[in-house]
Amino acid sequence: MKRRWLRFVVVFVSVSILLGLVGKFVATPFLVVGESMEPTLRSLDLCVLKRVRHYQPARGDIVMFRTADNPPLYFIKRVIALPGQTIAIESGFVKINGELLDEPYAPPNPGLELPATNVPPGKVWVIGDNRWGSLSTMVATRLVQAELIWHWRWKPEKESK
Amino acid sequence: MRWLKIILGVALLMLLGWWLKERFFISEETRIKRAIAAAEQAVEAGNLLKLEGFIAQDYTDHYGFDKSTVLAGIRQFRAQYPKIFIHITGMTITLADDRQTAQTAFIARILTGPVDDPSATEVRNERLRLHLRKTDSGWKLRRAEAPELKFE
Repeated sequence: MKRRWLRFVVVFVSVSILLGLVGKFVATPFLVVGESMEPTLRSLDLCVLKRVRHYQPARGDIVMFRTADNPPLYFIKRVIALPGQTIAIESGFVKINGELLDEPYAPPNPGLELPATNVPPGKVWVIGDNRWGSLSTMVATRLVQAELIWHWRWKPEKESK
Repeated sequence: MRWLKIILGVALLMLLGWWLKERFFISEETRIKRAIAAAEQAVEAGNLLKLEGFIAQDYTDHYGFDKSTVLAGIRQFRAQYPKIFIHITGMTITLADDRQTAQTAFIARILTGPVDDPSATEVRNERLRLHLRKTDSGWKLRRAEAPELKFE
């Protein structure tokens, strides 16, 4: 009886430590909060994100990043402009280095404008797929914590009225 | 078995020590945490009378609201969202040197929506900074801000 109890404690502690290490260094779960990544991700979708130590930016990546505040807020957004590129938004259409960016994942918002902005080294431009109400900002790559690898929609869809 | 008893005994002593500390030596930080937790519960329960006691008469915020407008706003919000759950994380507390004022920052995760319709559940995160003042009747909320986020 004593041995069984001891074995249970050892297994429980080992699994907890293992899960903690996996969450810290390999992959972490994340619950989407808000509608800024619709239609790709909806509020309360469950995501699994791969941890990154030194983020290598690639356009189209869906990344989780933190703010540089204490305590930090976490966001999940899409990378659309890389270091050294110039981004502009004209009538909702994104232009990278003057060329129109094909974005099948994001219906354009004709009211969205952004003057030509250069993205300096060590930074990326991120925006949500919901162009009607998303944060659009420059983020330091050192604040990028993880990349999306899988997501699951458990929440039932809202009925249209 | 002997070492297990020792570990258990130490854990119990630590628990007793922590309980005594919490019971008889309450720090200002703990008092602030308790005041904020009570205000959070008052918002969840719709107990505006309790919340009114937590907000100072000269309250202001970065939206330009005063005490009466913020209470009216919360009343309206509660009428709109009868079911509300608030979860506070990452709280930092900075006491002034004279220990009469303090600042606290935290993330509030707010879940709202009717119980019987999970598809209508809404959730949002807010980063808030509160300025508090110590009075004879405890810590009072003097100012609330949603500071601009830093991405660099």
